[in-house]
Amino acid sequence: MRKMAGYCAAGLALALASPASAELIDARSPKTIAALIESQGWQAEIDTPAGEPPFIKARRNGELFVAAFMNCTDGKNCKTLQFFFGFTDAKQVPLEKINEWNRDKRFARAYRDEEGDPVLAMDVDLDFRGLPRENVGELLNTWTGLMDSYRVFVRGE
Amino acid sequence: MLPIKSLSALAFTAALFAAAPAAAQTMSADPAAITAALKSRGMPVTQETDEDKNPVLQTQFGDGAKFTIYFYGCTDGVKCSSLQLHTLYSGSSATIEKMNQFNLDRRYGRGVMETNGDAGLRMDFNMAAGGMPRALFLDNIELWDELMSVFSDFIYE
Repeated sequence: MRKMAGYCAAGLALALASPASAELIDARSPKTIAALIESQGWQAEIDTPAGEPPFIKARRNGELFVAAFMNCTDGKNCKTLQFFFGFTDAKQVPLEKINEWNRDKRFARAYRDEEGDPVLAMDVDLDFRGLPRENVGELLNTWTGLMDSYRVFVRGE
Repeated sequence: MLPIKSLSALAFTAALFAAAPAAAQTMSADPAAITAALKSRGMPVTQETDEDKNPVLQTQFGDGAKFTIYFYGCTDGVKCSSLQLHTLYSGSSATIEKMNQFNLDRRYGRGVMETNGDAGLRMDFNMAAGGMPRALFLDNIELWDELMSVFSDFIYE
């Protein structure tokens, strides 16, 4: 069975969750998402290019990922998120290895972009009223765990 | 930093759904709740059990496109924390190069060359930590439906 380290413990908390009263987080407020990212020890900087959807640059210990707001109307009221990071100095990763990653890991997808750079991306639908805050927090934790694994995978360390 | 790529979002289908009720109904990775949600949109569902005694659902869309739902993070086959939607296609023109192109162009799921040479499509959801509102789950099923169509068109073209 395919598994991802560190993920199984989540099931235990489920029984105690109280879904009815859960606070829901959607993709309308970059500030809310930035605060969630910062609560996990990252420095989050919101960028709002004129007429374009906002994105967040998150930094920690020299690492960088982007949380892009998507499915927006005039750059606002966004409905989905994409977490994204990649390498510009690791063009040697064979597609066989990338495929292996996509077979063995969950939640995010790995690919080589047009320049041959390895990228990792994870998409989250936060339409309607979004997901419970705890769920988004777990997804973010899963994402940063996958980033760590992908770095080792790409660098071969 | 790499430019943000792969932003060609799938056409969004939110409009297909009525507005969420004031108190959003939240779902966990409970096979009965997942089955009821799928049946509410006219999909037949059969429940099985895998070798680890975790639940497995077999279902299909109205056009006959079949897929499987695997449950993860379960304790003794219950209280699962996450889901994976998975479908397999044999006899296609899929290659690891085509899978990479798909994963570069499309969001949410990922295309994989399976070990037996089939082309696989996978998408994961965290249903723990407060779960997922029912309307959002059905929206994700809608995205998956569209992703399966796009994927099969792509690998059989």
